Amino acid sequence: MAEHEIAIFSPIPPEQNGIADYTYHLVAAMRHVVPCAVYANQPDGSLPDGVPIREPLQAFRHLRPETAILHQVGNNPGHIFVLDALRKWGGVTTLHDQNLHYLYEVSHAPKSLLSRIMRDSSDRLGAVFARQWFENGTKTGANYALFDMLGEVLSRSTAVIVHSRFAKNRIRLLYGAEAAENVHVVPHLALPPDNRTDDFLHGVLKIPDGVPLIMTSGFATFAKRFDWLVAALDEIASRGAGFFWVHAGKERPEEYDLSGLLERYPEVKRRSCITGYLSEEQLNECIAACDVLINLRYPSVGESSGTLARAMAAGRCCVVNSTASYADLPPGSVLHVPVMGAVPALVEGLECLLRAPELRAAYGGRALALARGEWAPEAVARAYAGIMAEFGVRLEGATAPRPTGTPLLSFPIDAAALRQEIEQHVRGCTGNVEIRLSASSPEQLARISMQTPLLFADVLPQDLQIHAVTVEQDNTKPRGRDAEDAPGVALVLKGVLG
Amino acid sequence: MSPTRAPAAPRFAALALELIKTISPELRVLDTLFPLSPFLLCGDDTELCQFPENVPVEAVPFYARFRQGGGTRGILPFAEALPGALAAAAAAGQRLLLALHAGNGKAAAETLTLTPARPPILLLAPEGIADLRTALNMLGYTGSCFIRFLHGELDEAYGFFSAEHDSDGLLRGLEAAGKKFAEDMRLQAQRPEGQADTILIFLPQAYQGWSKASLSPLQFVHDSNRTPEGNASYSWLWLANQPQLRILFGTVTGRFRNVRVIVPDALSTHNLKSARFLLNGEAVHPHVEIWSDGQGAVSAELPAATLDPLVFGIWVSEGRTTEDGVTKLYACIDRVELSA
Repeated sequence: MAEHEIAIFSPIPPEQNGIADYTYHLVAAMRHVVPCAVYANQPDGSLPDGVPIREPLQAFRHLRPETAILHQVGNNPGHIFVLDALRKWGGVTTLHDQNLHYLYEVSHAPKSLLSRIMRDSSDRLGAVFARQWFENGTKTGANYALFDMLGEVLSRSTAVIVHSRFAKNRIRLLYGAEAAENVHVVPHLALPPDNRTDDFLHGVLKIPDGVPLIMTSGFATFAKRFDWLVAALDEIASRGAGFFWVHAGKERPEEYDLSGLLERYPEVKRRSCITGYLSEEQLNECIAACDVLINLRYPSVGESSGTLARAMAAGRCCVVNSTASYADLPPGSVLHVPVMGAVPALVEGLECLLRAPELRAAYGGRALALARGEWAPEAVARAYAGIMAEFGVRLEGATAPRPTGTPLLSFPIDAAALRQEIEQHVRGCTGNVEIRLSASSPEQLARISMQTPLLFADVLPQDLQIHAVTVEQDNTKPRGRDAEDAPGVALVLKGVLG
Repeated sequence: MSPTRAPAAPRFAALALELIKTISPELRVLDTLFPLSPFLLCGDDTELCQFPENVPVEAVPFYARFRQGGGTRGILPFAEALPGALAAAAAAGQRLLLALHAGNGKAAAETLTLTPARPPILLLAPEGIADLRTALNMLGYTGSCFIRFLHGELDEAYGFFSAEHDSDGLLRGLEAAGKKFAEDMRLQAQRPEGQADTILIFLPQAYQGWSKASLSPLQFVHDSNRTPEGNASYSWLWLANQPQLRILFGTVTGRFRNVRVIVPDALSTHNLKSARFLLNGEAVHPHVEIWSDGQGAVSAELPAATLDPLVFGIWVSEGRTTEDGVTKLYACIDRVELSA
């Protein structure tokens, strides 16, 4: 058992977030290798015994210089506090999504930061799209494809963990070899199956017995290509093959009309069921009971699927697209379906699988072997512990906590190198800041303001958004001033850096 | 990183204050050690203020959330708090006692040069302060005496400075007062040249220093935007718009072992049962007493290793939006009890 604690910033169950479940199971395995504490805004959250839940706001009370820090980042609002913690404390980041545009959008990041991150992806395109977004209110779906907004996470993290070689290669191609050197591939952990009864499937959902069960899972989105699947199942039904399809997940009608699609395929609708959101136990029961798990994804940005890993650990036969991170899976452990000509390939493949239990068992057996190897929770925990030991502790200087909310910075307004002096003090800072420009008298302040009409533009950092400007009596002693200087006035600028 | 740059939290601050009060009653304390605030739970007549050096930079935004007097007053820097505290003490017919850490002594002395008032000073960690003692003497603090409490392996020193006593007079007064607590008491036999006399007070082995405190919402130092309702005799505070309320307890080590919160309205019994405490941000599953539907008390033991200053949080899971459609209420509390 390692001596020093690992601090993990992540949502935790019961938050309805796949990464919350991932963290639960990761910690369940890691706590046997290294002490863990999880920082989450969920005081009633669920974690394995002996793992404390702490609020991120008071992390400063618990983090020691020797504490290794791990952030679990995904592309949804549940990870805003994780992004904030990365900015404040640095550390290793597990990147569950290869696109964080939505996270940044909902995090109320200042426009200056969004604009900078967009320009990091492409200077010219970023400038144009940022202007359209922030000045004209125009934001299209192209924004999400063009600007993945990974730059800040990659640069602030001492190391980045992804779940596939595809994801690492993508970062190498988009952000360069230097960024990719810091990226480590740790497979998505595959949990051993629980012993479940089939009360939920057959008792509650009334799934018929005696026919092969096909399963899909998660939020129903376009990228999961239900259009391909439903067309294939309709063809298979017309050929007389028996099956029942369960979608174990929730619809998002505003994003994708799965029910509407089924209305157009009555034969498939008759043999299918959409469960809505399932608890982890219910989901496990569906996985344990299914004969074929289908996890299509196109277009894909390299995301991984916890359900797929669970199904493989349960020895299920799985069907995926041969694209992005799924293409990493060894041939024979899953059935790969090409994205070009997907429907006929699905028809052919599924028909064979549905008619041949021994073929399904062969795929399931190879999947199980993989899951019991490097995907096993113990193996993943060891991989994490190794990376955390090497990269998790903040190195002095390079990854020292960047203070957010520097309370007060004071400078003489007549300093010869005012811009450089301010820049030196705010470098690396984000969050609220108060800058006081002190003058010996109101007359001096007025004179310098007249002499320097673009004072703010001349001396302030570009990423400072000013929210309030006031003139106050100055009771502080500006840096570099002699103690005998009488109190004067101060131009007080309050704003946000970052 | 430590929660404050001040060294270990003082264990005998309450005892030192009691000792001072025996020779100078009717004191109102200006406790400059926020957030450690060792005098916060010593009585009603304590006002908190701070020096910037008290808080490490990474903790500044967090402690800036807190307000005192049930959330009605901010926690000002010492220089800004002093004039008001002097005026309030004078209006109440009391004397102001400055509780200072030796590390802030120089800054405090600079501020005191700006006012004619010379309130007595109780100085924590006064070892090696010859320069400060000289500075205070020049300001008119002619009386000074050190007190050392010895209890087992604990050895904690305080300095008392006054402009109204000579050192001999102070010493005699403290000696007489110290007899109330001491198992043994004597003057330090040898002291370095130029240092004030020191009384050594040996506390009995059985001395525990445990005490009780019962806080009404009007006494809370908390981080909610909401302030208590009611009056001086009975008040209550709603957790509003946030499911969590954080209350600063300051220094609790060696003084309190249990915390109990009285909840006259948690909206529902389920909400009361779902309550969690957060001790310095770490979630604790408390013991819940149900008195009637949605009413009861929630309590927990404070871990022996609790780090001072203790920030106590209470959290419930569900809220209800009020008729104004703006405010969301979660639970109402009307008392916090700390006990041994």
